[in-house]
Amino acid sequence: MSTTKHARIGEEVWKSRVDKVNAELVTLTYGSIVQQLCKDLEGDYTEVNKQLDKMGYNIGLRLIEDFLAKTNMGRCNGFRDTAESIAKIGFKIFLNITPTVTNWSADNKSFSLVFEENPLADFVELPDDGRAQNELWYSNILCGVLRGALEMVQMQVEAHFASDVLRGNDSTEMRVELIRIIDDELPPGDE
Amino acid sequence: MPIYSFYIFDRHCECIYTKQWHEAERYQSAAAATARRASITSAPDGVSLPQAPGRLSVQDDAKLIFGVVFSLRNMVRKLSGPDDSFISFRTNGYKLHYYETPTNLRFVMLTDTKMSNLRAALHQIYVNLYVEFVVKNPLSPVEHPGGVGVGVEMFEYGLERFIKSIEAE
Amino acid sequence: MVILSVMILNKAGGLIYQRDFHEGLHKLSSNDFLVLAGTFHGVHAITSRISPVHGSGGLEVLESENFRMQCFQTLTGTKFLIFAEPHQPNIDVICRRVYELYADYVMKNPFYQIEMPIRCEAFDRHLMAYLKPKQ
Repeated sequence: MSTTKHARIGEEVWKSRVDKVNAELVTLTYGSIVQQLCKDLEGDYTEVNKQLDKMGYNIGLRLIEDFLAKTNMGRCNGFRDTAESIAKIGFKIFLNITPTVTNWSADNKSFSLVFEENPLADFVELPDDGRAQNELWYSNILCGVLRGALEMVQMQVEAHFASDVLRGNDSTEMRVELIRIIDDELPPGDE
Repeated sequence: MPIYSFYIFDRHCECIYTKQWHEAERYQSAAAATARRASITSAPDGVSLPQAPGRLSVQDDAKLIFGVVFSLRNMVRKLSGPDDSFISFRTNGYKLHYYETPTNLRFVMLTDTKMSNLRAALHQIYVNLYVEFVVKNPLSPVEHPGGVGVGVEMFEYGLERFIKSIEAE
Repeated sequence: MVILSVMILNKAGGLIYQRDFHEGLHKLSSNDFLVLAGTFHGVHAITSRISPVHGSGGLEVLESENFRMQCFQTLTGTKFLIFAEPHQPNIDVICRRVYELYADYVMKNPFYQIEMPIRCEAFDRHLMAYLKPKQ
């Protein structure tokens, strides 16, 4: 599928089949989750990142079904197709943003998503304690979502943020790498 | 046209939901002389159902059905490529319709032989009932070992109504 | 008519004949076909077992997106699997004709060993002429 076809599908589903919710509500809710985690985990930002990833993973496991139900898509033709679907359709439907897919590795097994805008991080400034700037990935829940969703369609991936404007970098970039394709499960007792 | 039964199998090859209809009429057993429509949900922890003699329990049936469906689906893929998918098969007594999502969730329905292709209907059940009432229910678990969390009221109610509307066509 | 391929299984589920007539199905090794035949034989038996109504026979028609398979089981237990395109009409008629050819050129051949793989040149020839006439 060409990228324009993905974009068209994303736009169409976003317009017609998606319930909309107030953006501030999302930003504030997510913000309060991160803030509460930081408080509860006493500033251990590595642990906060891990928890956000876990939460995202659980969301991703369910979100994929909604994605498939709304877009009526079948399997992607290879990892490049998957990347375009995630960027142009997935993020469009759920966050109304379309990150750019770039930086493909030579073996076509990893790529970057560059976010021009990030509704989760509107109005956010990281705390000034000297560590958050270097340790906290504010939007880490998104990495977990991708990991969970792709696992349900038989792709094991690793996702992490490489840079974040909240940290003072030039751009917000997430790196996604395909570890392996997961085989179908056989019924117990078969082999 | 009667619909006899419906099964959902998860990606771990386990039956997480099943529903039977027309049990009495199917076996014309003397006990159900009024031929009332009996719809019975199977609770996987082994609630016993009225069974005609020689008939398998619902659980064993589900396992056999899964075996058949899984073997046929692999056969089809071997013969005509991983993009092809098995849609249905028919015997002289019933017709089995199959639909598999990319997340390896499998929907199976057994109906009368004259029923037309129900693949679209199974897709509807997935989109409008399963995703809406099971996946999006925050209180239901993500995995459903033993079928826990699938038979929620909204899903059952929606399924009954949908099945009735298909049979009426 | 476009018949993709024909398979014949003996009573025990062993593959005794397999031939492709048109492009459409993947080319598998003979071992793969043997395994497929055995699996199908088992599945066929179970399909009558899982029937929700009394007295159902085994699987007769299998539909997928790219092909349609008709399984014709004779009273002697031999199964004829005809693979055709999804909207091919009159497969029943074709099944019957293939059975007739089998009865003539295979069963009536005194040197053909029953239940063994079919190596009857006359059967091949007539089947080819029937299923792929312009060849």
